[in-house]
Amino acid sequence: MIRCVNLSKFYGNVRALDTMNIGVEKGQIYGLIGPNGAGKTTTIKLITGLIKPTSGKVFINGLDMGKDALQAKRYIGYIPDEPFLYERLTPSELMDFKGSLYDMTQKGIDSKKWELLELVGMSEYKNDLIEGFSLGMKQRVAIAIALLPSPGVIIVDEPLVGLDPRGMKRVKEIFFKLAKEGATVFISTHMLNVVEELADRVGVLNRGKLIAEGPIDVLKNSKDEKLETIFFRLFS
Amino acid sequence: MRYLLNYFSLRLTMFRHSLRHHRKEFIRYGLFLSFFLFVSVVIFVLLYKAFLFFNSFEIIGEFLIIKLISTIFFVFFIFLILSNVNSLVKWFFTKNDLPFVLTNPVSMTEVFFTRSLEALFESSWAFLLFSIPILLSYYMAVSRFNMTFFISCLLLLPFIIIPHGIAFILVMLLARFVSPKIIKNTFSFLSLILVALLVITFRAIQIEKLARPESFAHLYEYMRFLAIPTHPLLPTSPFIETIVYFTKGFNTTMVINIGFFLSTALALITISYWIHNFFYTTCYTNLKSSSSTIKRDILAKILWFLPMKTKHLFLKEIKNLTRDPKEWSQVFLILALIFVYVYNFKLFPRDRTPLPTIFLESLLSFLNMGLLTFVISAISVRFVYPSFQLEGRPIWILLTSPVSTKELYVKKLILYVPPLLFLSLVLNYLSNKYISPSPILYYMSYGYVALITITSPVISLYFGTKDINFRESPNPYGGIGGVISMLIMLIYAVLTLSILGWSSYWMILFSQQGIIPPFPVRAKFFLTCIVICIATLSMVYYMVVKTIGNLKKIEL
Repeated sequence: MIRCVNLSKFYGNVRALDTMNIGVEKGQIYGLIGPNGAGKTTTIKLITGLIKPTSGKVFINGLDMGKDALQAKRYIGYIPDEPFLYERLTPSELMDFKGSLYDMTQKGIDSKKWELLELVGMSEYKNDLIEGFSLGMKQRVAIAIALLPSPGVIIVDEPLVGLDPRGMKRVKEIFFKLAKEGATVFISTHMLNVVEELADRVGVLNRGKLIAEGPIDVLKNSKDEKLETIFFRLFS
Repeated sequence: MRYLLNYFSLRLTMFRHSLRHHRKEFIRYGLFLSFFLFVSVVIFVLLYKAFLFFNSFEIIGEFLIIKLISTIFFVFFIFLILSNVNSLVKWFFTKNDLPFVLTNPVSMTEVFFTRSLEALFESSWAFLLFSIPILLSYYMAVSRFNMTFFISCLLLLPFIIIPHGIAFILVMLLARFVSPKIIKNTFSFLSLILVALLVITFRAIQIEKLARPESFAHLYEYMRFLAIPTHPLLPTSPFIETIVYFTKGFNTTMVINIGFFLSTALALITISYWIHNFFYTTCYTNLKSSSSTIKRDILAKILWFLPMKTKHLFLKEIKNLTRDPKEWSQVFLILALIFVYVYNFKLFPRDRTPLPTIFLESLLSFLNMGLLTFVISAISVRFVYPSFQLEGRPIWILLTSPVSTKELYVKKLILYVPPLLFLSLVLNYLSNKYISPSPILYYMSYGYVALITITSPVISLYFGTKDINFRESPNPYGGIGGVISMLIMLIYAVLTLSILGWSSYWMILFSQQGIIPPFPVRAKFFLTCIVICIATLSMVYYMVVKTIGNLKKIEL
C-alpha cells in the first residue's frame, strides 16, 4: 500500500506539490488526474524515490521511502511515461538485468520473463535489440520489466501512451488482474476515460494541490455523471 | 532563398542564445577554439621545419616536399569523404527536426541546400582550420609567400565540396538498399581503422631516420610510403599542382587545373542535386531502423563465476560498449597509440646521447612513469569519466530499483580498474624491457603505475558525476570535467615524480655501484614512498566519498 503524508516538493520558489495526503490500500487502483503542470509526475517521482521531497513522507507497505528507500523500492514496479530503456540490450537481457537488481536468481528470472513477455505481446522480439523498437513496443517492455519482481505496488505514469488498441486492452486487463491478486496500482494520467474504467479511487490535482479525492461514486453529483464532467466542474 | 536565409539566421540566433544563456557553452567554445589554434600553431611549426629540412636537399628536396604535401592532402581527402558520409546521414536521415521540416511547405531544393551546407560545415571546418597552417608553412618554407597564398586558401572551398559531393552520391545510393544507421556505423568504423593504420604506418617508417645522413638509404622506404595514388583525374593532383605552380609563377597548366577543379566541384553539386531530387524522398520514406537479433550470449557464459547482480551490471556495461561501433572502434585507435608508445622506447637512440647510461635510464624510467600517467588518465577520461552519464535516460531503471548508489559506484570501479591495471602493467613491463632501469626504479615503476591506475578512474568518476544531467547526451571526449581530471593527474604526476626522483637519487647511485645504501638513504626513500601512498590513498578516499555524495544527489 501507498501512503503520502504532508508531501511537498518545491523547485526553488516554484511549488510543484503542496502538502499532499493520500492513502491507497492493497488491491486498489488509484487514478491521479489533473491538467498539465498539476504535479502528477512530481507525485509519481516522489513515490518512486526518483526525487526527494522538500517535506513530508512517503510510505510503501509501511516502509519510509526517506529512511528505508532500498527496502521500499523492493515492493515497487514503476512504469514511466517515456519508456527510456537500454537501447543496446534485448528485452530478454534487460529482464535479466532488472531481475538481478532485485536479487532474483537466474532460475527465478527465467521462470517469469517468458511469461511476462508473452503477456505484453513481445515474446517474438525477445532477442532483438531495443533500439529498433517503436514507442509502443518499448512501453510494453517497460511494463514487463516492472512486473518481473512481482511488485506489490505498481506505479504507472501515463500507462497507455504509444500503445495500439490491442495493447491498451491488454494493459488494462493486466492492471485489473494485478489489483485482483492484491497489488496496489497507482496511475497518473490525462485520460479520464481510463481512470473512470480502471480506478476505484480518484485524486484530482491542480497546481500542486489535491483539490478532490475519494471513490469516483462519491465525487459524482448524480449516478450518470461522467468523470469528465466532474473534472470540468472542479476546474470551472 | 528566403527559407535559406531564415534558416541560417535562426541557427545564428540559436548559437547566440546558447552563448548568452549557457556560460558552460561559452567556456566550451573558448576552450575548443584555443585548442584548435594551439594545434594549428604546432602543425605550422612542425611542417615548416620539415619543409625547410627537405628543402635543404639538392635536386630531390622539392620533390620530397611535394610528396609530403600531396600525402597530407590525399589523407585529408579520404577523411573528408568519410566524415561527410557521417554528417550527411545525420542531416538528411536521422536528425530530430526532419519530420518538422519535411511536413512544412519547404521545397526539396531548400532542404537540399540547407542540409548540405550544414553537413559540409560540420565535416569540413576542422580541415579548413588545419589546412591554412599547412599551406602557410609550405609557402614560407619555399620563400614564395605572396598573394597566391590567399588564392590557394580560396581553392580549399572546391577542395571540400568535391569529397562532399562524392559522399552525397554514395549515401543516397546506399540508402536505397541499407539503413542509414548501418552506413554511418560502417563508415565511422572505417575512418577509425584508417586513423589507427595511419598512426602505426607513420611511426613504423621512422621518419626521424632521415635526419641522420648515414641512414639516407632509408629515403627509399620513406618515398615508397609517400607513394600515394597520383592520377590527373584525382582531385588532389590538380590542387597540389596548382599550389606548386603558384609558388613558381604563372603557368597555363595552372589555369587548366583551376578550371578542372572548379568545374568538378560544380558538376558534383549539380549531380548531387539531381540525385537528391530523384532519390531522397524514396530513401526517407523507406527509412526504417534495423533490428538486430542477438542469438547467443557468450559473455554471460564467460562471467558465470560472478555474483548475479555484479554479472548483469557488468554485462549491461560491456554490451553497451561493444554493441556501439563508435565505442569499440576507438579501441583500435588506443591500441595503435599504445603500439607507438612502446615502439618509441624501442627506437630511442640511447647510443647517440652524451648522457651517462645510469642517468639516461633513470630519466627514461621517470619519463615512462609520467607518460603512463598521461595514457591511463586519457583512457580513464574516455571510458570511465562518462560511464554514469552514459546510463542516460534509462537511469530510472537503476534509481527505482533496490540498489544503492554506493554499490553501483563500487561495481563500476571494479569493472574498470582491473582492465586498466592490466593494461598499465603490461605497458610498464614492455617499456621497462627497452629502458632496462635499475632494480629500484623497475619495482618502483610497478608500484607507481598501480597507484595511478587506482587514482585516475576515481578522479574521472568524481568529475563525471559532478552536476550530472541525464537529459544531456554524454560528451565522448570528456568535456571540461574530463580536461580538469586529466590536468589533476598530470599535476599529480609532476609532483610525485619530482619527490620520488629527489628521494631515490642516492638509492639509485649506490645500487648502481653494488653498495647497499646507508640507512638514512633507505629510510628517506621508503618514507617518501609511504607518504606518497598514504597521501594518494587519502585523496582517493576523499574522492570516493565525494563521488558517492554526488550520486546520492541525483534526481530525475
